[in-house]
Amino acid sequence: MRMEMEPAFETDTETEVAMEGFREERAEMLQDITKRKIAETALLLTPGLDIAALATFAARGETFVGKKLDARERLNYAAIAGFLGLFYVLQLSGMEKEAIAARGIAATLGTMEFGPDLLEKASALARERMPSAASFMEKTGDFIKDKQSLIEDVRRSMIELATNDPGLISLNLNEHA
Amino acid sequence: MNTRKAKLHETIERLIAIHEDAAELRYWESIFDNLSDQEQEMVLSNLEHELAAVKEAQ
Repeated sequence: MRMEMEPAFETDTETEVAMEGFREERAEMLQDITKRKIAETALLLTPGLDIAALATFAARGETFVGKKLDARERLNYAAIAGFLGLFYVLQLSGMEKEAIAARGIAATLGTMEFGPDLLEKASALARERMPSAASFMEKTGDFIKDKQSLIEDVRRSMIELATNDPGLISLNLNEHA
Repeated sequence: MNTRKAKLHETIERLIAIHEDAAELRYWESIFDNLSDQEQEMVLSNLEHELAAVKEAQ
């Protein structure tokens, strides 16, 4: 009987290890996908906005305070950073470049309260300004809506990043003038 | 439903049956149409390989 139990335990462990590796791969995929979507949206709607740092933020394997993330957390983190990044870019679209420069990510994200109202606003903005991103925004918003504490963590990290080094997310006022 | 999406759905159902994270997999299924062809292939391949690896481990 004991001989039958031991392999079962080993198989469960092996299975979990195998699954974790595939989750890691999916977290990286989502990081790349959100980076591309943020960059693509910024390029079309807000030319001159250097969004590389913000997009790269979605691909970090740890939080701003250095907490290492596991595969599931990384995937959630990428989804949240992707959603907030896209929302930020959408909010800036159509604004004068000087107004964008004055506003900044800290001011934009600092006043953002994540909840049903924000989800609705983000969805409406995307439908109006970037229809090709609207469905992705809505589905991602639906996926992250119950991850309130993690959303706050990501939002604070993005604000800190932008406040401590504003040059990371900048606007080239001369580009595409 | 196209063939690739049908395969995705079937693979996801099997993975959920063996206790993979349902919320995450349903999210992938929901955004699948918003992905490029290459991204879709990568996601589907990842999930199919996970299912195969789990079956092998069992």
